[in-house]
Amino acid sequence: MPIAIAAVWLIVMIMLDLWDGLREGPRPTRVKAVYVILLTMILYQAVITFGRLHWPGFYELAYAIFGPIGGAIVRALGGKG
Amino acid sequence: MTSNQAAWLLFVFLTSSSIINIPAPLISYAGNIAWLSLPIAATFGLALLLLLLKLARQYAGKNLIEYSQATIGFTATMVLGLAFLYYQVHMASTIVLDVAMFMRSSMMRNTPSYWFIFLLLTVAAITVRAGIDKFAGMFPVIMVSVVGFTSLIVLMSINNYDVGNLLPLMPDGVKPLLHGVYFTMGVPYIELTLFGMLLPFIGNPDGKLGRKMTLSLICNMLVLMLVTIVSLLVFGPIAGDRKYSMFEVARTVEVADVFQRIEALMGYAVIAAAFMKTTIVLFSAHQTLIHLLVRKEDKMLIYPLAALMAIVSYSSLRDGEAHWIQLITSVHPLWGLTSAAAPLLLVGLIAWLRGKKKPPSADQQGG
Repeated sequence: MPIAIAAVWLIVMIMLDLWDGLREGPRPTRVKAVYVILLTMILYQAVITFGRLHWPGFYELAYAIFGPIGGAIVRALGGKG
Repeated sequence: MTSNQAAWLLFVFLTSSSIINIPAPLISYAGNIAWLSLPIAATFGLALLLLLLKLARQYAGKNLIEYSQATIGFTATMVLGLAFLYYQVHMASTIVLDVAMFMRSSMMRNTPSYWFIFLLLTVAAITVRAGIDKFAGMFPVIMVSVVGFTSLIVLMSINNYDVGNLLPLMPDGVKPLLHGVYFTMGVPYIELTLFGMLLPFIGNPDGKLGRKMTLSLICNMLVLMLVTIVSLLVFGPIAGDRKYSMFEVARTVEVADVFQRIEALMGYAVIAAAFMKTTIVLFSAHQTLIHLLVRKEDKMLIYPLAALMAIVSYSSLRDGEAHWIQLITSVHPLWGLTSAAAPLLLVGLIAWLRGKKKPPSADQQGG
């Protein structure tokens, strides 16, 4: 079910944006490139969310960057870290 | 939008979901002294707000990304801006996930979390596309109902208050208080850095804008202190073990056998508050992205951003709820400090140094 909802969302979203693009005129290449990058990130996150790949996701990166120091701060303040 | 709407928007942003989500974790860290963490953290928030207002005056009509480009250069702005955007995607994902977790654990246990996540973000994306002038006018009305229902619950639960629950104040020393300050700095006070992307939308800021926004922050602090104290008065130290303590407070209300089980009001408050805050964060994230692309206005990226937030939110619980809670309590404040507050402080410092070198009139033109 979540895959179906996500798919419907993506199709509707792309159709609306295409419609806007036709109405308002062409966008610069960098905007189109970011649009494609965002779609790729959505698909990547979806693939790892539904267990097709075991690669690091959005929060694994954040945890790798901030986790050790954040945990150390909380432990220093008497929390469980 | 007007100065009054901006002040309201700040109150909505700071208070909306915090009113529900802050008391329980704050009490679990800081115990009976939890309420005192809020003014200390709010002082830090006030310093950030005053810095934002000073930069907004110095670089009139520009947002955080634009005056960052003017002070630290394009490349450094791209790096810090992407980190800022990363933080905002996380923020929006967290807010909608909070709703999903709340509804799944209390009111709609059999409904899968993706319904709440996707529907909330869809409505938020449509609202952002409608424009800030629309939601800046609409949100104060919704916020009045959220604060009104919360106040009603606070008043109706007076019979359950036990002042003795507020003592002892600091049985374990000052560390729990500092832990509370660390947590409340992360939620919601560092988050107000996002207003750096919203301030240029104030069409004609009056001389009292700073005073009005400061008043909003003080009101927010008082409201959060009130709900924290009420949670403590009703449940005592175990308020920290109740996941959504104001919801639990609402469940205890029983006045003359007529007014009871009014927790549905808190359910409404959670959803309405999350919708408002998600909309503001999505708007700010979209503004950040298009200004990093050196565009003034482009609605094309709103839906993909919202879709990314939705899928990130849905995937957050992949490693379990305990891992997620640890991420929010230990990582979120540090994340905000490094990705939102630190860049703002850096930009403010460089703008101040430049302001000292140049005469004020040249500063205005150069900004």
